[in-house]
Amino acid sequence: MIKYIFKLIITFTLMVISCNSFAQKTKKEQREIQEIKSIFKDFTNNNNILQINKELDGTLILPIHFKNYKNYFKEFDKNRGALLNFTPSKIHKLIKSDCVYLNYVTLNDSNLIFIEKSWFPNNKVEILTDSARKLNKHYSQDFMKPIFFRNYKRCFIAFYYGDNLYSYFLKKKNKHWVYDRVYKIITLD
Amino acid sequence: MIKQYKPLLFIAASLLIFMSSCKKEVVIENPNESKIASNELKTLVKQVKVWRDSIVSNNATGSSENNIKSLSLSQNDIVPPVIEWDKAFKNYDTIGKKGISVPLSYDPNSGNYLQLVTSLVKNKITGFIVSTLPDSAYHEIHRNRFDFTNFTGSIIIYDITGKYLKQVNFKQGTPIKENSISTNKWGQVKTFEEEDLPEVVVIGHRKRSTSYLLIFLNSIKGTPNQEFDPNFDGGGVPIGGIDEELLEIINEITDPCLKDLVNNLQNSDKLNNAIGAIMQNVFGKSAKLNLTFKQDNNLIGKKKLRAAYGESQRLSDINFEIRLNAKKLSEFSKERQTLTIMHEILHNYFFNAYGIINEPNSHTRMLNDYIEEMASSLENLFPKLKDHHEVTIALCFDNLWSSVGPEKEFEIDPVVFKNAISKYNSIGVNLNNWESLAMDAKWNNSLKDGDSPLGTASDCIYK
Repeated sequence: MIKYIFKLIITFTLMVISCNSFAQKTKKEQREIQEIKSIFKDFTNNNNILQINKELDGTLILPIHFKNYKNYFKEFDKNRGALLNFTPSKIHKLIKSDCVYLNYVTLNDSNLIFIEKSWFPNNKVEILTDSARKLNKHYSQDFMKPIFFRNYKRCFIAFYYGDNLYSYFLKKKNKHWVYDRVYKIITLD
Repeated sequence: MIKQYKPLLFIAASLLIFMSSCKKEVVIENPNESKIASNELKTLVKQVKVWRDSIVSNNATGSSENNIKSLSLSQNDIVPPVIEWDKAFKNYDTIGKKGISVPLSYDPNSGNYLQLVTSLVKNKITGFIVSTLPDSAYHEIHRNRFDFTNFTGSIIIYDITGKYLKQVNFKQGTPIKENSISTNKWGQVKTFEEEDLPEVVVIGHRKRSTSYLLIFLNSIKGTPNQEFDPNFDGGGVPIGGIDEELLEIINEITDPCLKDLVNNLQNSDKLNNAIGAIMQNVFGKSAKLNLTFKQDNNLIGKKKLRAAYGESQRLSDINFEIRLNAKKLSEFSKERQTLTIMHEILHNYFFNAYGIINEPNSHTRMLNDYIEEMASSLENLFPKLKDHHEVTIALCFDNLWSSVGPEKEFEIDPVVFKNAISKYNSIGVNLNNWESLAMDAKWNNSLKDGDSPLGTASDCIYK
């Protein structure tokens, strides 16, 4: 009897540990989504940063999900992967640990985050599925998944229009995301 | 009963151990960030304060604040208000400077806003007292003192002691009676005059973005500029010599013909060659901006899998790079190749001048506002085109044609392109047949014999 009770206690303990583990993961994802929502909130009407496609009636056109870097570079852009090789820089305000983290995430993160209409309570939004995008030649924007670092105080955000790359650092100021500095912009002719 | 579930319990326990042992992502924390930012502001304020006090005490009969009032003032001068340094805020503009601004006074009735504006570049501080005085109609609409959208009114600039330096009047964002090569509207104004002039950057913030007015001061020489020691501990301000200018345009093109074309633009007559002037004035005369030309004969669009003629990269706020595909460009005449170089220079100029603003997109901006500059600059370099202005303009349209498409964020709307052609037709430059006209000067004749009689053949040919 004692043996079984002992086993039950062990099992229960392990369950608690694993629950914590899952909760932590969910918490992190929730935090990321909260911050992404916050970025959209802060920049949707300041379209210079995100350059979200807008219809004439103000409807926002968005892809169904953020692309992850790993798949994007594998699929399209092997050389551009090298362009996003972060190195310590005073200009970009990057220290070594920032670079280690950013390089790790851009090379390894394969999560997809889906964009939801509910993130934009004040805008009309049209979410284009991947199949709808193929039919819509007017739309080629690929949002890369934002990367948060320094405890969600800074964010690296990048997106492509065809072969044009735009990438910026954002920073948090008074609980709002604001533009910090450009990383790279590339225009191909 | 329990024995029956033993294997199941074992598997469940193993699974849970496996899950819980997964590595969790490490979050890098920096709790001191806001403290660092605050310290940076304090340091800047301290440096500017010492700089300002040293100038004022040199000009005044004494060194105390009150002695400022004893300076002899002419009719246009002002008595500089007492500066409340705790109101200082950091300014970072889009051309790689940093500094602080300090609000001095604001009259809500007239909108007259007086501020101390300083900037710090390569250990050199410049600073001015700036009065922003909107006209009454403008002030009615834009009550935000930082809003320079199509600013109408006056900007009056005084030196740090209150001595009047210059007044620039603006109408809808454009300076009036300015002897300028180029002026741009839309909330952000630059005037280009002689090089190496002191300049004032007045930062504003609109709902959409930060804007600034950049005013070069040609009415004075020897505006107070002093260098400071970044490690200054309060013991005095060292006064240094003039900054040594670095070579800011680096031409790393290896193809000799293409390299020469870049050099020609870099050495062109600034008065008659607007694009050359942009290149020289914006990128060539200041250590704050670097433009590098590189050759890349394998320049290919990775996503659309197309060969490309050129690529512009904004690598940071101060570093810009142009990559040119010499192999692909060698199909073209020297004239058409030069247009591609101008096209890329304009991209980089827009990166610098407009920052993150992309409305209209850069290709549309070239079409709307710079096509005449491109054409006249090209004719300056290749004078035989002067007698064939319609060919020059058609070549410019040809240069932009590959940028016409549905992607409104970086392509020219086909309707806008068509309207631009119609505009030329309406003023007597018949461009209905612009593709055919462009052919007269487009190709490298050594490759396509006789196709382009007005084009200059390039000696560098790739098989």
